[in-house]
Amino acid sequence: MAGTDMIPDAVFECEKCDSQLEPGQVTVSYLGSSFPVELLRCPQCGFVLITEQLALGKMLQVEKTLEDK
Amino acid sequence: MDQVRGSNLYESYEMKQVTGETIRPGGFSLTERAADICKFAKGANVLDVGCGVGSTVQYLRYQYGLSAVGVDPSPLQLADGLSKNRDLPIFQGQGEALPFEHESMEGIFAECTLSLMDPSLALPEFYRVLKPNGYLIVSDIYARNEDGVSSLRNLNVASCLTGAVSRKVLTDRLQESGFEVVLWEDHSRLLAELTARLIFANESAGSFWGLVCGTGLCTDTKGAVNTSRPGYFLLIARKTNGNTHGNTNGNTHGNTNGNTHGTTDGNTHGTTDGTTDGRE
Repeated sequence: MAGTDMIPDAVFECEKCDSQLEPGQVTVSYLGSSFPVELLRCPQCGFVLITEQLALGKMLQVEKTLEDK
Repeated sequence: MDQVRGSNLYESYEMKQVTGETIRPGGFSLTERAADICKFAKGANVLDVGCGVGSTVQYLRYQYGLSAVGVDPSPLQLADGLSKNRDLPIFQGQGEALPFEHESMEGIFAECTLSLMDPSLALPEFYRVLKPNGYLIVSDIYARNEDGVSSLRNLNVASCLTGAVSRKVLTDRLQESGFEVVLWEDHSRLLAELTARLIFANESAGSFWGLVCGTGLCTDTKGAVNTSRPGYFLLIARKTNGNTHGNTNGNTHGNTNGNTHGTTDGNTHGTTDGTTDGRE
């Protein structure tokens, strides 16, 4: 999947683990459907960063698509 | 099949990246469902029309032990499939003129491909090639809002979407061609999930279509989709034995192709009808 859901050159850290978030494949689930997406995640605890851009962009579109199916 | 439009979605790298080699919503899930319902005997002759790289042919051969073969008009798809398995029985051909003897197949699969064909030619061809009581299995996109069908026709991309019709139009066509629809299931959820995966894989659904069209954002595509409300279905139809259907369509459509394939008239169909065949 495209890695465009991460902010280029931005560095994020997991406050709990003090680890730098890394790009990784995560599974996003909504209304019973699951999708593999590449997002920034904590390599230790698995915390995933969902940016505002992603939440209000693709995720919103996906939600509308699935709700309108 | 229509190869004239701006681009072929089923040949696009962007689509394959998301769907894998089946290039359709749901992958093998509806193939499996249909095969389980039809209960073909091992070794049964089945044909996949619009087989692409031959994924379904391979699946039906190895998972179900069927003598599956496939045809596709795209040399690119066929070459790709044969490069991975040179023994795969897939050939160049199209649904409107099938290179097979009449009454030679127990099943025909058209998975997200009937909407790419001229149904007035393809359905009589399916009828001709199927054995009496043979199954036609169609999974495809359909327009849940019939009013939006005309806007889909004008889209500059060759995909199931552009040839989508309403459920009623399709079932009427099948009945007129001598088929009895024995199953219709709505699987629009699979289409929504594919759209969602495409959205995640691209900037947006609009940018995906733009990428595929190669003409910018394809805003007309988005509008046509919103109006027609595309859904997805699985349909299983059975070749009936009735003289009425076979002969009527034989005269209207079948003769067009009939000369090429030796089914020049309705008698061919009629001789195997229900008066002697009691399998129903």
